[in-house]
Order: sequence, then C-alpha cells, then structure tokens
Amino acid sequence: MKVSYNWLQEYIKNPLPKVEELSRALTMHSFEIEGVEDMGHDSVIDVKVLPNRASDCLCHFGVASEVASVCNLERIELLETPTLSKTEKINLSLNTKQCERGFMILVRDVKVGESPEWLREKLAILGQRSINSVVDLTNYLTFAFGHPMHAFDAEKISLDKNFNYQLNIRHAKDGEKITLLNGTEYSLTEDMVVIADDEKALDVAGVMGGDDSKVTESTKNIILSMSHFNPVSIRKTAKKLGLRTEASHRFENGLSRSLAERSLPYLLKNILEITGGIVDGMVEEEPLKEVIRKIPITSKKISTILGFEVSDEEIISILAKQRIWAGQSEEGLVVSVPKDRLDITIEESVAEEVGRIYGYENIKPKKFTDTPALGLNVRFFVADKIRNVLVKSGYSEVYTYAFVKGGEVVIANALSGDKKYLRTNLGNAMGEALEENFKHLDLLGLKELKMFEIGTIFKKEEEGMHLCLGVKYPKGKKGNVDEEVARVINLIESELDVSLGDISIVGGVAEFNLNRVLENITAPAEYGKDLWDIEINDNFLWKTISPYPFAVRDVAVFVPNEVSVEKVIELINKNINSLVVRLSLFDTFVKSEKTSYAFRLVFQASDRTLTDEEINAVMNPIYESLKGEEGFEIR
Amino acid sequence: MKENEEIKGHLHPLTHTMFQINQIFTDLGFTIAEGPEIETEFYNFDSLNIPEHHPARDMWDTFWLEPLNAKKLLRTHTSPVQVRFMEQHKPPLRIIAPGKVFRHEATDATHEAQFYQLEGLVVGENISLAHLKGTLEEFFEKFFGKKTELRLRPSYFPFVEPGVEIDASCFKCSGKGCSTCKGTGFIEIMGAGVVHPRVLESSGIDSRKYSGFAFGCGIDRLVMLKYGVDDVRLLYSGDLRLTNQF
Repeated sequence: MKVSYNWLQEYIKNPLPKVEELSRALTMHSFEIEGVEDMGHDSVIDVKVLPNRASDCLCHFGVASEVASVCNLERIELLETPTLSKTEKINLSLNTKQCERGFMILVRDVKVGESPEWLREKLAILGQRSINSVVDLTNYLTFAFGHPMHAFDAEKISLDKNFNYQLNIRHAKDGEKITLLNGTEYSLTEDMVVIADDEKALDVAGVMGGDDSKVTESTKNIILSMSHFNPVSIRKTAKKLGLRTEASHRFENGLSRSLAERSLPYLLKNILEITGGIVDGMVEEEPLKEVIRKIPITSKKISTILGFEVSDEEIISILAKQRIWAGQSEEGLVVSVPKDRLDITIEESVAEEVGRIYGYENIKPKKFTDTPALGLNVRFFVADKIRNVLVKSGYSEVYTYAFVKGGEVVIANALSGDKKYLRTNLGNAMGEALEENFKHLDLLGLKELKMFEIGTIFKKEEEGMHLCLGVKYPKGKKGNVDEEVARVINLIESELDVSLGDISIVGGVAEFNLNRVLENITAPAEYGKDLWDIEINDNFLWKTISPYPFAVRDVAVFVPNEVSVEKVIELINKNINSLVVRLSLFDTFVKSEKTSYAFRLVFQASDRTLTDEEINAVMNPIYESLKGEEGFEIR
Repeated sequence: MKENEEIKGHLHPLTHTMFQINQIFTDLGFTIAEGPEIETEFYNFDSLNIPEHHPARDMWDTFWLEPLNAKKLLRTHTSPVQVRFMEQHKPPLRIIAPGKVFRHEATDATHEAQFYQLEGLVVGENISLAHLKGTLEEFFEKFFGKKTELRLRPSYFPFVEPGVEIDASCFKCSGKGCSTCKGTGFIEIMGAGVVHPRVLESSGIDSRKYSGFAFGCGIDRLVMLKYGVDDVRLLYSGDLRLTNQF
C-alpha cells in the first residue's frame, strides 16, 4: 500500500525521522517496505501490509500509529467522534446477515465542484485521479482511516409514501443487472449483497457504486454510506465479478467498524468546509455491536514463546506504546484488545506484539543440548544411494519439468496448453535431454552421454518415484548403449542388494519405479557416513552458459617418444586465450620412434559468435610453436 | 587446463545442495520427513489455519487438479508435511522435509512454477524463537561456510504466530554490502515462526504443553545465491552444461 510521508506526519507531534530511518524502523518492527519513491516535496513509501494487519493498517493513520510506536514518537490526538442525531428522512432496512452494520448519513445542500488543492494533491501523490469534491473526500477518508465510504446522489433514490429515501441492504436477485462506476454492466447473483432503493440496486455492497446514483456537479443532497460487510461475502463477490477495488480489498481482509468512528469527525468537518453541506442526521442498523476482547496472558508464557525474559511491567509498558492496555490479574495479566486490532486473538498474538515492538534482535540464539534418536527415511536413503552409484559410474543428473502435454492427471488452471498434464514418465524428457546435450558433447568434453533423473511421476491413482537412465554414444563409438544401461542397473542391484526384475531398455533409455526397491530392501539403521559425503567448495561460482555457438578445431602432432604429453600441452597452453573453453586430448598412438597426440580445442565467447579470423589467430601460433620444436611434425 | 577424460558423473546442484542440507540437519538430530506432491486442499490450506475465502490464500498461487470438486492440488509449500507428520508422531519432534512444490505463476529468471522447498519443524516443551535462531544460525554457518548472523523481522504466515521473515548476513561480504545482498549486508532467506496453536491442536497435539517452531526456505534460491546461478529455469532444463559444473 502506498503511503505519503508528509501525510503520516499529520498524525504525529514530533518531526518524523528521515524516510530511510522510518523505513528501517518499520522494516524491523512492523512491515516490509517494498520501495520508497522520492516525489521531491514528499516521499511515497510502499508498505507491504499483510492480511493480519489489514484490519487497522491499510490506511495512513494505522501506519502512522505504528511509526509512533516503533520510533518512540507522540501521536496527535484525533478529533472526538461526535454524536449525530437520527434522521427520519432515510428509511433504511437491513435484510441480510452479510451486512454487519448499515450506516448512512444524509447531507443537504452540498455544492459539488472541483476539490481544493490540498485534497487533489493528497490523492495525486497516491496516484489517484480527482473526480469531484465529494467523491475525492470519500476516497481521502478511506486512505486516511481505512474504512471505505460511498456517496450516493440522494435525488436518484426512490422515496417512500412519507417522501423519505428508501434504502434496502439486501441480497441481489439472480440475474439482476447494474452498471457500475467503471461503466460496465454486471449481472449479479443471489449470494451478492447490494444497497438498493425500492426499485433497483444502486451499489454492489463493499465493492463498487452504481453509475446511476453517482455524485455529479449537479448533485444537491447526498447520502454517505459507511456500512460494513462480511469479509467472506465481499471476497466472493469481488472474485466472481472480477473486480478488486480499494473497498473490497479492505473489507475482504476483515475491518473493524470502529474505523468508521475515527473517520466521522473528519467527514463532518470537511464536508462543511469543502461543499458547504449541512448534516441532516444519520441512520444506523447494527444487530451485533463490536466488543473489546480480553485476553489473559502470563509473562512466563510470553517469555517462553519469545525465548527471552520479559516481566509483567515490561509487557504492560511495551503494549502501552501500541495503546493496548494490560492490567494485573490474579493469574497474570489481562490484555484489552483495541477494537481495530482484529489480529490479536490469542496469547501468541500478544507475544508477537511484545516481541516485535521490543525487538527480535534481543533474542539470544539457543542450541539443542539433546540428540534425539533418528528415524531413517528409506526413500531418501535409496534415492541418494542410487545417485552415488550412478555418479561414480559416470552418470550425470538432470531435473526436468513435471508439466507436460499429455498424461493422466489434468491441471484445471494450466499455465499453457502444452503444460496441461503431469508427467507419467521421465523417459520422454530424458529422450529430449539426450538429444539436446548431444549437441554440446565437445563443449562438455564428453565422449558419450550418460544421464539419469530421479523424480516423481503422476498416474491416476499413484504418485511414483521413478529412476530414468539414458545413454547415447556418438557414431563410431564401440559398445552398445543398452548393454551399458544393463551394466549400471546391475551395479545398483548389487549395491542395494535387491533384484529389480526385468527392466526394458530401449535405445539406451530405461525407466522404473523405485517402489520396487523400497519394497524389497532391508534398510540399515543409519544413513552411513558416506551417503551425503560430497566435495564442497564454498567459493565455487557457476559460469554462465553462453548463448552463442561454439567452434571446434583439432590439432594432431607427432612428437619424439621421449617428449611427454605435458610438454606438448604446455606449448599449446602458451598460445591459447580465454576464447578456448576446453582443451582435450582425444587420441594417442605410437608409431615407431614417434607418438601422435591429437587435441581438440573448443572455442566460445560469452558475447558473440566467433569468426574464423578470431579462431585462426589462436590456432596459427599453436601450429607455429609446435612446428618450431625439434622433431615435432604436424599431421 | 588439462586432459579431460570424464570418469565421474555429476550430481545436479539441487541434489548437491540437498545432500548438504540433509547432512547438516541429521547431525543436528533432525529426521527427514516427506509427503505427497499432490495434496488435498485440507492439508495444504485448512489444516494450516488458511480457511477457504481467507485473503491469506492469495499468498499461494495454486494449481488445482481436475475434477475441481475433488479439491486436490499441487502442494504450494512443504508445510503440509508438518501436519501429516504430527498426526503420526508424538512430541518431541524434530524434522526437515525437503521437497518439490508448485506455484501457479508465470516463469522468468527468478520465478518458476516448480521449485524445491526445505521445511523444518520442531515441537517440544519450551521451544521458542531462541531455538529457531540458534538452529538456523548453525545451519547457515555450515551451509555457507561462514559465520552468519540472523535477523528476524515481523511477517505473517497463518500457520505460525509470531511469524517472522529471516535475513542472513551476506555470506559473500559478511554484511559490508555487495551485489549479492544489493548493498544491504543481509539476504532475505526464509519465512519462519512459532507454530500456531491451532495447527498443533488440529494435529492432535496439546498446545498448552507443547510449543514449536517451523521454517520454510527455497532450495533453488539457496543454489542460486551460493553459486551465482542467474536463471532458475536452468535448474529444470536437463542441461549438463549446468550439472557438469558441479
């Protein structure tokens, strides 16, 4: 939620700390700050108010109050809530339980026009458009104190036989139509709540007002609604209509009705000053009043949760900063939760309030002293054991996607048509991975591909842990890929001491359900020292994969038998630069007094496709330097 | 550069990281737990104090499975494992649950629709935020191979109360400020908190006698942070140009 720094100052006596310091204090004690925008004469702070604090902090006053607590500042006392007399001119009936309070105020003789500059500025800094003085005022008060407010043009509302305005808060009729302020017509359903007159719906309650009864420059009398609605009802309605508004967002999180009382004196003051309107009176229907909750707590329990000692006195004074009053009782303390703090319901939530205001940095880390008996997780044991066997045998591991274009389990809200199902096998992805990686064989410095994946597959009635093996040889390589796969399956069987039965191997790919292993294995009591024993280099940094193609050059040289391969490599190394990403010896043979060494150089740049000239600039000096050696002969 | 005959294969960096996680936590007395990737709405949400129509549900973008009336989904976090484990075991409990989770979101270099999460849960008598801090400090020190300081900030997850967001002092610059921590000296690393009594009770554990802490952390994020991998999608590309660097 966007909050203006200058606006926060209006609720605090002392000068606010600098915006950076204020943001830091909020971050450590209240909310995450998603950003601060410098607007020149003001700053807009993006405060991430999570659902637990939506009840009081989706407004400037709420955030300012947090600032006062966490920066030790003094709040400015708000104007007192006046008692409004009841007006006979509104005939309000409340016909749904989803409305927790019907609350309407009639204001006569307003002059609707352009808003004063201060008001337009306040809305502009939050990125809100100015509409007219009355609408702007309702929006301003929503952003100030958090309770949504809507203004109706009273003359658009039907009258009863006594010439009083007829307002009915009721469920919509199935198929009832209404055009809302955004100019769109909506068809409503019975579970939605509307504010209506005798003839038609005027407003989708807690979501958006109707176009028909909107306040315009010609409006004379207005009815302001600060009615209050059930969060679930509003959430469902907003979702169904695909409308998320400032009002629905606040209502769906659960708001305190007391926020309306906070707003009221500012409404009366401004409506008179800005529009010259005269308040006729109000009507109110509130079947169940809000109450102040009492929560018994003990400092012992609060200390246990937080992990540091706090006394009764400390708790009382920390909570008092937040204007939460606690008093001693026989068993400990009783906390009186202010009406707007819907999040504080149990002892743990009081602990949170104490902990965050006091500061979590006061928590001293504690370690466990005991070592409980460990159970062995057989699935992890088997999977990780197999991984080790495979890596030792030259297999490298891949992870692929669970979302595929065909399968048995269907995703109702898939990201795209080709990701509508969950995979039933790993083999398809393995086939693709073999093809893709095969293109990079030289870059990888590999003479063959040996890969595996262990992952979950999804059948209609079963979630299985599969192992998939994939082997691919380049043309001309001796041996058979299926035999290689069979060899490594044998290795797994002997390492785990289980029989895997018949496994079909097709084109170097085999896949099977590890449940077979899990069912037949005798699990040890412990994981064993070497299961997760891997080399870890904490300073290792991964090298970004270049999107540009690589190029390969070979060089073969006859050298006298007494010259070591290291010497030859050293000569080549002297002439290579960073474009050579791999140098490998791929062939060696001896012919009487001479030995032939064949090297492969792989070239690649991170930022461009290399030209022949660039590659030759490396290769030519290599040829020259090899040629220059006594008894060397380039083949 | 020397002759490059490949003999050994390579573990995927996620596995590599999970091996370290498993080793460190089993040394600390944690048992490894697990649960299904297809979950029920009950275990993924309701049992974790996230009722239907609660705005907190928006914090987890969810893949739902057909038919919708079966109320099955791809788990959005590993937290259901907490509940499943507590239903089967009596305190004291100390578990981790590394596993795959799913989020209904458009993918880019830092967002994936599937990723791995590390869940942790400890339940016992007098377990507090101090134990959470102590345990995780030890874990991160071992994991990053550097003295690590943790910072707890208030946050909100319906299944914990108090809920916190945890920042670790930057393992690259030790808190001085660098590109990894965007100059702040700290890295946002996980969500955690004290297990909500309602979650304990719904799993049949007496919340007056026992308390606990829980945490959840993205394993992909740990891999990316520690090794500088700049695109999460690479982890699921089946590309050995990634794997074979590890």
